[in-house]
Amino acid sequence: MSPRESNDILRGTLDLLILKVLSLEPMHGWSIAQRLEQLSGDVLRIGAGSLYPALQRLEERGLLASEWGVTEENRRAKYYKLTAAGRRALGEESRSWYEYVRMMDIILRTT
Amino acid sequence: MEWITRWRKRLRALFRREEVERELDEEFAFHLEMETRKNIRAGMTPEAARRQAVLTFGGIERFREEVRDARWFAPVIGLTPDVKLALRMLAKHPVLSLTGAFGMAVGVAIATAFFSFMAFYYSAPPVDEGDRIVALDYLDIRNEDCFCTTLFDLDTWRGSQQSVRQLSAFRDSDRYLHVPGGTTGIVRVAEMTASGFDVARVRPHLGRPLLESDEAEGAPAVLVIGYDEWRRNFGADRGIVGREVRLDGTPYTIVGVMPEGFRFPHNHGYWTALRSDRALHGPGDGLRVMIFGRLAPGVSRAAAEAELRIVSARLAREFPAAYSTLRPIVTPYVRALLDVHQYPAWVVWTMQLFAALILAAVAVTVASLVYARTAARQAEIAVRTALGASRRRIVTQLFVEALAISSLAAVIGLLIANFGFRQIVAINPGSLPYWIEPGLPASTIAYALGLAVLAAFIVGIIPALAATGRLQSTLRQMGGATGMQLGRTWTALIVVQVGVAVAVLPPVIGIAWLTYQESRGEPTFPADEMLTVRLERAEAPAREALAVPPVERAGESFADTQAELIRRIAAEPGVLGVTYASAPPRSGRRVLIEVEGGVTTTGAARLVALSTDVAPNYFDVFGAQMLTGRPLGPGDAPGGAAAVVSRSFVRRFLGDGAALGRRVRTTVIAAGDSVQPGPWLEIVGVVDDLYDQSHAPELQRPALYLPTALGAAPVTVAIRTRGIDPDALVPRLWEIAKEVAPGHPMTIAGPDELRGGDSSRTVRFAVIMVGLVTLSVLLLSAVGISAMMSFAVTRRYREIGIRSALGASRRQVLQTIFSRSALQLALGLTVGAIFTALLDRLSGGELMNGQQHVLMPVVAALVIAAGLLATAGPARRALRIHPMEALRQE
Repeated sequence: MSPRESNDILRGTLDLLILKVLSLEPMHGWSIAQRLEQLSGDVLRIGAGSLYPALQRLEERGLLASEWGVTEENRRAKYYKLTAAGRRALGEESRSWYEYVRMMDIILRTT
Repeated sequence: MEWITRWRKRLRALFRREEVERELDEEFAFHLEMETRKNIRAGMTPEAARRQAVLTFGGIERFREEVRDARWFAPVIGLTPDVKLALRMLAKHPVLSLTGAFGMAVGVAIATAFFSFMAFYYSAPPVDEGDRIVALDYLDIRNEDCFCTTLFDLDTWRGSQQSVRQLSAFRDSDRYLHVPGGTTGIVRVAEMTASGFDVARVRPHLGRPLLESDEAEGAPAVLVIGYDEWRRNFGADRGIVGREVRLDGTPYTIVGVMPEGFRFPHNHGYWTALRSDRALHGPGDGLRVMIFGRLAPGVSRAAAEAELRIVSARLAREFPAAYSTLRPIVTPYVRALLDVHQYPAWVVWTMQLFAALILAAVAVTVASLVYARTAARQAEIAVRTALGASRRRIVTQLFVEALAISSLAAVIGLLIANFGFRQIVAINPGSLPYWIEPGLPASTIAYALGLAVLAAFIVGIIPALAATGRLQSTLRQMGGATGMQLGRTWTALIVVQVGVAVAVLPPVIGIAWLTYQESRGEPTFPADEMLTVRLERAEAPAREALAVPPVERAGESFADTQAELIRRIAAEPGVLGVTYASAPPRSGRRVLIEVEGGVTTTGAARLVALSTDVAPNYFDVFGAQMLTGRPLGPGDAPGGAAAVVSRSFVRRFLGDGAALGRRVRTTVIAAGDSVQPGPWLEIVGVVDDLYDQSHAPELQRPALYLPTALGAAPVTVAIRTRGIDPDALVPRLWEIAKEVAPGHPMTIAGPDELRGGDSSRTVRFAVIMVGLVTLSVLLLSAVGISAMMSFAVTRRYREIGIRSALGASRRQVLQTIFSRSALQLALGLTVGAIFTALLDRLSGGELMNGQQHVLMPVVAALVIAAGLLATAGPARRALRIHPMEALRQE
């Protein structure tokens, strides 16, 4: 798969991916995108147009919290971190994702 | 606890948008910077790195929008996309939405108020076949005015026509009620013919109604009371029949209690028999009464009227002076009570239509605002169309947006109308027929909702069709003409709005200010010790002019009656002095003053004074101090040349110079009359002002006092007490009036009224209402100007960008865009100012009460401030346009 911004794949799963990345440590928007790119072996390239609305949506749902902080290079940046609810949601959504994959797997194998 | 944080954020997003957007921008800028650095690390040149970063990032504005949506509208679930989108647009343009809603709310309030009135207009008393009850009256064809009919007419009609049965009559009478061992106070009594109860077809709850025998001269005085009164004042005593109470000191026996909810004929809880010495009442004379009855079975109102015309033709031949210009009318009962029976139904319907048109006019204004916004959203609409949204879909969306605004307007409008209605009832309790409940009937609420849909149609669909339809493509083909087209209509609209605001505001502010200032005026006389009493003539005053020569009642003139009243009051214990004048303090005739040998007044203050005719002991009783000269004495004949003036009169008209011996003359201010100055008067004394207005000397009403004697005209009697509470004298006053002047209406004003407190309630209410209308007009014009400029900025985004790129200064950019709105403001101001000045001139200076030199600049400043505020937003946007951004947008 060539590196591309894949909206189709991302639509349902971007939220889950963001939650997962943020479960390690608080990050700012750009580094979230970088980390996802890196973790996917440069397959996933998250455009700002998907990333920021998703962050806002998650924050609105109370799964993320944000605050302004300072980067290593002494630049002001907005950092996002998981809330307790976000952590719970990550667990639930990971589970349902695995179930979904398992189901898809079963169907694809048997037919 | 997280929901608190969330809601705090939402509110912040709504109310501190700028800050939130700035943070968004900063976040995006940070992202771009990081991306650029990454590209540089990958070996790109800084320029290429930056360009690549921007390219991957995409259009910033679109993200902002999406981020906003994600934030604010995520919780609005379960609504259709149209409603969601509508709410989003409304929240995005809160000023336009709220102003539009407020403007239309005032329109809805006016329209629904009229509609409520229509409901009353078509109502009938809640009794058996109440719609068959009619009122009989005369319409004077010379002035389209209704006379109240007299007992003579009742007698005549009873004997001469068949169309209306059970003819009855009543009149209101305020009496002093005294229940032994119980309540006392002034109550409204219906003096009614016994047949009135037959018309109502309602049986008493206890005892009996009035009987015809009660009307006879010398029959025992009896009283029927209402259910509420029975419970409140008599503890619902079932043995009440036969108990005795006093009305104006005369004993009455209670013979019956009417059932709950019955307050016929108007809004009454006490009934006595209507008695009168009919021998004294000739044609066109006598007690004024309201005549009513039931239409005979199968007879229409028109048929009844036709029969009455035959009767009245005969009367006109017999008594031409009194009856030749009177036309009998038979109207539904409620219309006579509301005093609108002289107007045919089509007049009322036309008024209703006009009331609805006010709303339509406001809606059209809002529509043009929405149109500007829609035009500015052309791109959005084009994109949505391209994405497959049908035209119907887009129109629906815009309609839903408008419906959201107009529904809000309907709710606010109903609240305003309800408030207004309750105020009217509170100011004048018992003034409405008893079956009309304060509050808005369901039909009115339904009507308001209908209006909301109509307004939404005007506001939403018309601009939507214009923006999406053929009109739009035609306009687009005309290229540059689009802007002009919209501009011209709009300029006219804004000019009119500003003009109306400028024309309406000064009198409103003037009245409000005057009311407030006058209420602050402290009496210089001992108001706490004083009362005023005013006796009116009992006969129909208008008829007097018709009956030639005026009939003086056997041996007793009104002047004698008044003199006797004064004599009796003066003899009461605790009364220190009694005097009289043509009007209460601070009232009087408004006259123009001309000073012999020119006027030494300064400024533009008009030469208006209050002229009052006073008794010789007037200043004595009021304790007003003579500053110089002498008071008016018994030697000064009424109509003579002597006059006393107040301190403020001297200051205003005589420049504080010597006053004694100066000569002045007056011209009565009356609309339409020929202006003829009176004879010259010589000032013989100067007296202190009765009210101290030193905090606002320009509002002091200069006073002119002329000698008078008791005559046919009613006078205001002022009573000064000592050692007793003036209010304690009131019951005695009613008793004296009953003995001296039976049947004459009388009003009493106590210390509170003399201090000048609560008479302003009606004025205050009017000021609130007119103020609301004005505020809505002002707001709408401000928003209109704002939207106009926003529109201009959006349309000329690129042009402005190029101009600033070419080195245009900020001032030049502003000039380009805002010269037109400055012109609109100026035009509106001029039109409004000319209109107001004309009105003020036409009203003889009454409109602004001589304060135009203060009011006009204040209002101009207000309007200009509103205009400038309105331009602030668009101006900032225009200045922020970055040349590069502007160019890239294309």
